[in-house]
Amino acid sequence: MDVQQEVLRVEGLKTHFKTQDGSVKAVDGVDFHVNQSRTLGIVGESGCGKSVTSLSIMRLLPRNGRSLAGRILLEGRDLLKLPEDEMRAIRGDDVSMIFQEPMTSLNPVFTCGEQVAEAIRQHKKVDDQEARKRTVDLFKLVGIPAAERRVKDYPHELSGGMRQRVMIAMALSCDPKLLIADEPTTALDVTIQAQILELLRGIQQQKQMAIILITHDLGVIAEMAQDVIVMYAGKVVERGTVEQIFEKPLHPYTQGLLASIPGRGTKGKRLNVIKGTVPHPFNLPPGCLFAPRCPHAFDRCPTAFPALMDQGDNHTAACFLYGEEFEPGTEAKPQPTEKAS
Amino acid sequence: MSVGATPAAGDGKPLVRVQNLVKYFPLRGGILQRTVAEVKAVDDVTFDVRAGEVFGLVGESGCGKTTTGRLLLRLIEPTSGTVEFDGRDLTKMKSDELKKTRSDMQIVFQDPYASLNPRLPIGEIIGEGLSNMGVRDRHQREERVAAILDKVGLRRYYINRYPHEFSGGQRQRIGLARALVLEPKFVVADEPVSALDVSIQSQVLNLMADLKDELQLTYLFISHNLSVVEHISDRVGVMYLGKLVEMSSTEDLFKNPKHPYTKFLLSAIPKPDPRQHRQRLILSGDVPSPINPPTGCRFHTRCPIAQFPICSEQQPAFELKSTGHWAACHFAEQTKELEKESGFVAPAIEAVDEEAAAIGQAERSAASEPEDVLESELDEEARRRSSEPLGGE
Repeated sequence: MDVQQEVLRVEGLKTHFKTQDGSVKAVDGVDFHVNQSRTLGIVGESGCGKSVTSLSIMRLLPRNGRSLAGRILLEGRDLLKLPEDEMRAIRGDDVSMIFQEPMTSLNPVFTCGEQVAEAIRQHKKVDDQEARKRTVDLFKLVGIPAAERRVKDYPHELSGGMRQRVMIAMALSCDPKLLIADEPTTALDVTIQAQILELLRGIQQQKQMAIILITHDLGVIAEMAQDVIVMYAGKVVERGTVEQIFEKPLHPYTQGLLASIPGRGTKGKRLNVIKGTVPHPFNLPPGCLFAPRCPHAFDRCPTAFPALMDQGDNHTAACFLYGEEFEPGTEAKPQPTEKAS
Repeated sequence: MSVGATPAAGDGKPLVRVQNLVKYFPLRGGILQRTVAEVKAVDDVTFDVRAGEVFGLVGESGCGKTTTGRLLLRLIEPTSGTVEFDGRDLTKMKSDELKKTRSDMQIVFQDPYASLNPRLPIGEIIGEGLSNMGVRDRHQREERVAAILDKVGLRRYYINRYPHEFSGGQRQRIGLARALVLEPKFVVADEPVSALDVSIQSQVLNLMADLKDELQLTYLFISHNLSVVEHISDRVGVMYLGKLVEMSSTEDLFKNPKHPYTKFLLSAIPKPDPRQHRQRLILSGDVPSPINPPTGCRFHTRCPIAQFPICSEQQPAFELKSTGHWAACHFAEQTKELEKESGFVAPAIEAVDEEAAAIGQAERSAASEPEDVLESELDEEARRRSSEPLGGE
């Protein structure tokens, strides 16, 4: 396993937004890495910072009011330090991304083929004819029937699943080393979702890509990912292999999430609930952000945010149930509001 | 403690009887705006919803499940067919009679962001039905609104707040309160938890189960999420392209699906268990257009065991295949043999394989021994909490 090359390493990523009402710490100190041919799943509920993490990696966030700190190393190169034109060369070439909404992320006034060919022409020195030929090949690769005809279709002429295939074709057009898939199947029906996930898995094997898969669907994570990080309110609360996370979840949030999935075995029983809701970003609780909803919270929890502590086999959790370490700089102040160090 | 899955729940007499329900939406075109084609949204659907049960309706987008839900309340007029509610035919009712009956049937919509009027305080949104139904006294109305807010786990003093002040989960509670304030017998819940996060989803599902028991409700629960439907429903109907293709008790349907489409659907659900890397069966292609659905069995274009020419020429009847288990497939009895012939690996294997699942369960709990105490505490805690109102801010 160690022979696999590390493709991306994110260290201490902090993405904060300044707004009139204060600072929003959308992502607050996230570390992870992805290796070649591996899939890292990022799971969490809405507002936990998973999409902002991916947009930060791609540097696609608007400049105004946001601050990025930390390091994003793509094969050793820090993406946050690159000038914009070099970053543009990387986007869509070494790293590419597929988005949740296949309906809105394609341009309605260009044919699907043109949009994919554009990406190829952008990054590879090929003439139009070659770009078109590659586009047809890509359409075949992602399983679009009658590819020669489909390249001339406009997005509205395709179904949701087909559009997502076009998005994947576009993302794969330059053989990326890393593919970021942000809720790639959320807008799709289950049978179509199964098709798309199978496709992604097949292509990953073939091309040995690293994939970051962002989703709120624990079922999708269990099927696709080898490594998982669980995010809550901008922080990573647990990290481990998919087996560790699903079979021996450590953090009470992960335990709560897994226990609240309905399905076989829950019939006729009450579902487990995590009480309350995700805290508002302007009004984060002091110390551990999950403490107000946590069934195991004790007096230590509101004092500081626990550090990710290794519980063996690289399974880490940020919870005081498993140790005393805390993240420096997160100690609660006498006035525990949004002000941070 | 009990959710609507008591075995007796299914034995009730029919509260809603749907017979040969059809809804075609006209597509107009040309200068004269003549009907050039029809979208066959719901095409000859027959089923009962029994008093006290949760009837789950599943299917993919465009299969007609939402249209069916709306037809049941006569929110849209059916093209043909009848809907009997409590023994009376809704489709023939005059508007004042229908209005009276409406207080017994309510709907909860999918999108809690779009279905609440942003300009009205929630007290008025919830109370609107009451004033429509003749509760003119303001205090009386407020009292009933406050009482229903208690029931759905919201604080009484929220009554003057506006929808934007609430989170998604809370809004769905408001949607439930709006539906339940008139003390209906029957509630159509159209994807009530699809827009919610997992942890919030479970809160709302528990609440719906509690309210069902407390207020003796009957639900038609429409969802594309099979896990949710399996959890909450007593019986399930599966729709494909405007047709009901299978219907049975939840257990039977998930353990022993008869229609090939149902098997595919069940196989497609991603299971939150990384050890179950199973042979998944993938349905090829997309759902055909409902404007011009395939002849014969509507599923034959994608069905791995389709036999020609029967399947492409004759519409299979929706028949009773075993006790309480209906399916519309010419070969529902012979699927096993046909599957072998066509190399179709029945995807529902793990669904049948309860024993293995039980072992897996046991292994997992053994593996997580140290957490056992923790988890049961967690359960306990959750149970205790959920019995309290979940205003949750």
